[in-house]
Amino acid sequence: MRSLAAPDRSSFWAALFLAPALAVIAVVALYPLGYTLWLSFQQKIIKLPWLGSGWVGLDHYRELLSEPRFWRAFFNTWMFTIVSVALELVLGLLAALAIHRARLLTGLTRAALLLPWAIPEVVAAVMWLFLINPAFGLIPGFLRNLGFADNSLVFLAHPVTAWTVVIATDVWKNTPFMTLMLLAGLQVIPEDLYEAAALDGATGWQAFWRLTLPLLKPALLVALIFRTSQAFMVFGHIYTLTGGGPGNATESLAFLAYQAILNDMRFGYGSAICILIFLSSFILALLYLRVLGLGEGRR
Amino acid sequence: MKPFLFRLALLLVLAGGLLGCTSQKPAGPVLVMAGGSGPEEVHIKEQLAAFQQTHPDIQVVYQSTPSSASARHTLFVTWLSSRSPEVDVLNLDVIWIPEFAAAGWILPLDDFLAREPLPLSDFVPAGLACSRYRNNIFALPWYVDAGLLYYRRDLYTALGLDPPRTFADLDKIKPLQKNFGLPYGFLFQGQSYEGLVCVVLEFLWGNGGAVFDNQGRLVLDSPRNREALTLLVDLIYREHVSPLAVTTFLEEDCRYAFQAGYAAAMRNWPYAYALMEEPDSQVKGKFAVLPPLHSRKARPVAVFGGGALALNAFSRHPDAAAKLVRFLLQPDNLRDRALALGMLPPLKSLYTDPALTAKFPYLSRLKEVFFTARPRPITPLYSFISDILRLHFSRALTRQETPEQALRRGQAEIAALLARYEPPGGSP
Amino acid sequence: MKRQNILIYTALALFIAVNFFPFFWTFLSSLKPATRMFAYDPPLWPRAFSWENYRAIFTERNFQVNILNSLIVAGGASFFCVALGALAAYALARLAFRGKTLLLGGILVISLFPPVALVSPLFLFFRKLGLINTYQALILSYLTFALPLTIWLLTAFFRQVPWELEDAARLDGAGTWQVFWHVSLPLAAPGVFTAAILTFIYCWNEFLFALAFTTNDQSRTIPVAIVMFSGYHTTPWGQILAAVTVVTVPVALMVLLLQRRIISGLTAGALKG
Repeated sequence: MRSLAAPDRSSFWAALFLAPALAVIAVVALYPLGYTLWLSFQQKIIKLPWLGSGWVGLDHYRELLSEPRFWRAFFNTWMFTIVSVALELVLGLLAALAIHRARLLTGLTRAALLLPWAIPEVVAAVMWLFLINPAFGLIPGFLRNLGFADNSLVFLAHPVTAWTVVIATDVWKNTPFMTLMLLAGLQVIPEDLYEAAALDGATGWQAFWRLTLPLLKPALLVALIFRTSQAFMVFGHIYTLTGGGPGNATESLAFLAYQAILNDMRFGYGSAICILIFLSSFILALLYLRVLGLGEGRR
Repeated sequence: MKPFLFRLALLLVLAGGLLGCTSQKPAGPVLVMAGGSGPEEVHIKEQLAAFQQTHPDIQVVYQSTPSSASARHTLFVTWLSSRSPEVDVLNLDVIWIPEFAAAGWILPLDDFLAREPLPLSDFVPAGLACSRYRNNIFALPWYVDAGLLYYRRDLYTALGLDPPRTFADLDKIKPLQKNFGLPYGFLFQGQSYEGLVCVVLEFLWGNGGAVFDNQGRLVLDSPRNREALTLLVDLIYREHVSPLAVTTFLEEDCRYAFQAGYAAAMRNWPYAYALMEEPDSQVKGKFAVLPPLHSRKARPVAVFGGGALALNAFSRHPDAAAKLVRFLLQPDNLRDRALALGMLPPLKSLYTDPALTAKFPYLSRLKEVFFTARPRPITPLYSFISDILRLHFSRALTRQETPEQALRRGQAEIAALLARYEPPGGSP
Repeated sequence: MKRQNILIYTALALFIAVNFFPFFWTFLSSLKPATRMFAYDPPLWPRAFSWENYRAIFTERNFQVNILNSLIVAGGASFFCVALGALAAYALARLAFRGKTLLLGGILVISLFPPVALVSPLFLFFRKLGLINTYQALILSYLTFALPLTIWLLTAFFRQVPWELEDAARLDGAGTWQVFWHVSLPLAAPGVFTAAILTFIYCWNEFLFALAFTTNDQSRTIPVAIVMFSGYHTTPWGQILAAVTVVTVPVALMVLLLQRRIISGLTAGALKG
């Protein structure tokens, strides 16, 4: 498993290869990230200057953890993330397998499969809003003709159906991301492995479970980590579809953070929410790493 | 790889070329004004050109920002929290004035007004009230918005009914709906956003209730308010005069539904009037406008909204910027703006102006509605208060809480908020 | 085997239909004049076709400028992201040095923060550098926040490249750079093009940074431009839907062009080595 290159020259090349990317990241990202962390320990409500500003330590975190609205959003976000990502994983895997196997599929259909992901989050929400509008939407109109009562067609008025819409449209939009990642992962599994397995008498299902899935681990890991962290940060989607409503039934953590920072100008408090979002994504990422592993190179 | 790289290289060369185009540096102060986009932008730019003609030493650059209030707020907060001097004149929503003033982001205008007074008494009272914070004037009203009741005059006349004015008149909507086969009765904005707060406040005020009384005490949980909120919720679930769909409606949803002839009445802002009088509207000439609904014991009170002009506290050219604001607030310019964009002027004298009343016939008849419109609580804490109200009103409207619970909890939360954040000696 | 294929094709057909239908409906709706768009029971097929909305967005709103801006920003960011990311990923996957896991973890952390926390400090940063209303500000921001995914993805891909091929090249006297450029990178091509597409689409759709860092019409990108269509209370649905249709086309084309690059087998690449 060792490279034939000499170790010390390898370090030189490593530094050279890493330098540009790390330089960009360090210059652009470190200040905002560090600032956010620092800010989360400060009281900084610019529009309430009589409160003063300064170090408050863990006060914001304590306040958040004792607020029912925070916990509601926390629960909402976890629920949304788990359900959406699970659905996207299953559907994405199926789609990737189908595209990979069905070689007759033209590029056009592949492009169509990836379309929902190619538009802005807010635009996708707007398209679906238009489709489910109780007065002018195609879907309620269709259901109305089937005999459904008007009141049952207002999907966004009840927490459960509102969440169903939020999750369904999110899955619609983001499954292509999973499909794309898993498809790329499928490409690097060489055909001869399947031939060998078939020779050994393995069924399709066994080949999938014992051969495909383990070799997909690296792609799965990356896809899951990033899709999960994106789901955890969901904001624009919900803001456009429901505005956090009905009431605060569909509020997410990022929604609270946006509200705190840009509406209420509670920069410290909002930063604390963002740190908590970050920690949640980080813990999930560590979990994925534990379960899936970083993946070794092929022997 | 090669053609791909080539294409990208081409793109980058293009980018480089475009980047190379920089504007020349002019002499004299360059003012930057930030306001809405679209047709509003076109009109403002015309006025700015006229300003530059009369003030040749000042150059003005217009920066379009989203017209939608929340996106513009995001932008302004981002700019001003970094103390950016790049924009001199800001177009603010009236509910932002106290918070921007408290944050020290906009300049008090008293000195400018002392040097060159403006006819402050001619401004719509609510507009001036919104622009004051701690006895200083921090902005000047630029356009006015107030809630109105639109109704299908043709249908009401056909059935010989009196126009709907009081809450009791809502009873007559159901038979009207049945008679003409309208899917909807009374429409209002019920989604969980600021507009909902406006709608509910109008109902509370129309019933003689309020959030804060004249002494500034919190009176949200009162019998009158409970009555009004229950009435609103019952419109959906008991009387079935308003469809459940209103809980997802914004202004445009109501307007489109009314404009397509689906509703007997709707509560909306004045902007809808001109749009529904356009040739392709299904209700052109068939509707009329009234003050907001109220109880028989109280008077109608509309929610005051609209925009104001303010000066960036970090601006490098406050004097020149003040001149621009003064120019934009001249009656002629305000009249042109109203005629072109439908954004009603902040000067009382213009509400009987012949040109404006020709285009907006309801203006002089309903001018008292605008003059007595009430602002939402004027405090930097408004975004917090609005958040609590919005939450509970939305939950009441979607039956996650009863109206009593909503008002009781809302009162408790606002009281806690005030106890925690109230400035020493100050109150909304 | 046949029955499995029929199942697959049916499922795929369903997938494609569900994915595609909202776009189809959006396109159809954008062709309806405003009055017809809002009917209580919307007919499936518009009775009157009108290209008015498309005319409006290009003549009244100069939407083409926004499309060009988005193309430049997304194209530039994708190019640099893949270039810098591939280099970094190769080092992380193949070159020996200490602290790889820590570095990978640190890079990951960058993309776990909600943009709302970062927009104010980044605005201050770019303003101080005089980069507001430039392509650089957006390209740099997008580059930074797209790099983690690119690096992680390409690291996974480079790890999958068979050692034997690289060792063989080294035995032939190739240096680190040659091995990277001639052996590893071509074999990781599916990953490279996937990363390019992912980055491109991220930039194409990003709203918050684009809103904050571009303050005049000439530099605005598509998502912000679409939001700007709305008036104080008004929402011009027709124009918005037309714009949505218009922006979907180039992305679909781009995916169409690049999707073949993603679906390239490892065997084909190995034979070249």
